[in-house]
Amino acid sequence: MINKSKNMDYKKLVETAALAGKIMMESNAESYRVEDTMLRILKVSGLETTEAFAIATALVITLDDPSIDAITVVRRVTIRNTNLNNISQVNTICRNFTESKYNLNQAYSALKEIQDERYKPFTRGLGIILFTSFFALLLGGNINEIVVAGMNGLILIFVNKIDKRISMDGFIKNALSSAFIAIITVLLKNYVFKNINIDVVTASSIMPLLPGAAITNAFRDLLHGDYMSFGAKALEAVVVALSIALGVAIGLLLTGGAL
Amino acid sequence: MIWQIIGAFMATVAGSIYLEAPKNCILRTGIIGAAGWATYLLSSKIYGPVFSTYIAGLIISTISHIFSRLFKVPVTIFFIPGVFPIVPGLSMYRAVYFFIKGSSQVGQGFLEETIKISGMIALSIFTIDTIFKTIGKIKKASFLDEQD
Repeated sequence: MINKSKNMDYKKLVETAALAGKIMMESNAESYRVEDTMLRILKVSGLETTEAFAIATALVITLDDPSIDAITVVRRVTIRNTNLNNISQVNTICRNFTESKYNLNQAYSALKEIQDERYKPFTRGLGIILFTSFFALLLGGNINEIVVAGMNGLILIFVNKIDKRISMDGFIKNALSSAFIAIITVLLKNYVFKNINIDVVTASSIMPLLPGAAITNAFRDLLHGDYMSFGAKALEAVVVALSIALGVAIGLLLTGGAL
Repeated sequence: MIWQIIGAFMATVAGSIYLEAPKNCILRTGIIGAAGWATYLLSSKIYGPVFSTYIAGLIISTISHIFSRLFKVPVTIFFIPGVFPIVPGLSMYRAVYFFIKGSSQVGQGFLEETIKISGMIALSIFTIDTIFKTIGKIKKASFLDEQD
């Protein structure tokens, strides 16, 4: 690993590491994985000091050696949307780069080419609908419950569409989605499908909103001693859970579902 | 029960599409979700929901770690969709429902269950991650410490 490659564009190397780290952090990877990836990329330079630091909301990289001026970059991470494909792709690119299958320019342009959404909107939408409806089946729901949960999946898609237009706050978006879900479920129970169980339908419909990824990554960070990241992600999970609870509460109150 | 396991398989597959998992991993996460939910269903008859979540979490994280080493992708890609079936959505909903209804006692019970179940998921991650870390340290076989 330690072979000082001369004429390497250190600035570009740091940029590459920062880009890789930023993509991973935005795709909701664990902090230690982000740090590890950035360090591996930086170590290719063979310089003396390579430091990478990532917490859930920002990342810092330093590259230093007696022979060069120190390079430090800071990247602010504001969005976090789970995207497993991005994590896996960055992982592969980083591996190819450190095993010198890619040169620096190839690695950089490969990172630039990573797309946010690889599935077509239709496939993604179908995914959400199938997710909520099969979750109702998982919880032991009958055919009507499955159908209503699938319809709630449509609501989630609809709110996502609105969100893309006006870019709402995450809190409002979750609260709005779950409020709509609760309202529609109670109305359908009252007027169309009288034998459905509101518990099962609502629980399976809010499933895509729940902070499962945040919780699991938070605890994995905690295990690795990244207490700051744990705090940030655990709080994120609590806030998301609160927003969903608020939305469901509003929906139930408006329709009188809790009476 | 067979239907519920099929539901878990399909829900996990659909969930991994929603989370943009790589195409070749989708069906594999389905296997993990189905295995986890089957474990949960079997053990919840004996041990109740909280401890069963721990057992199911152990199964899910073990298979995720094994798959991640077999197929050379980060463990998160299998784990996050795989854990979906045991995320405590139902008890969270019930907690909210009973709080609104005014029966805080019952609501608190469900809130407690939600927190306990989340804690159990965390504990199962802890257990298996630590075990695999230790194995990785003992056996410094080339492909074993490559992936984390």
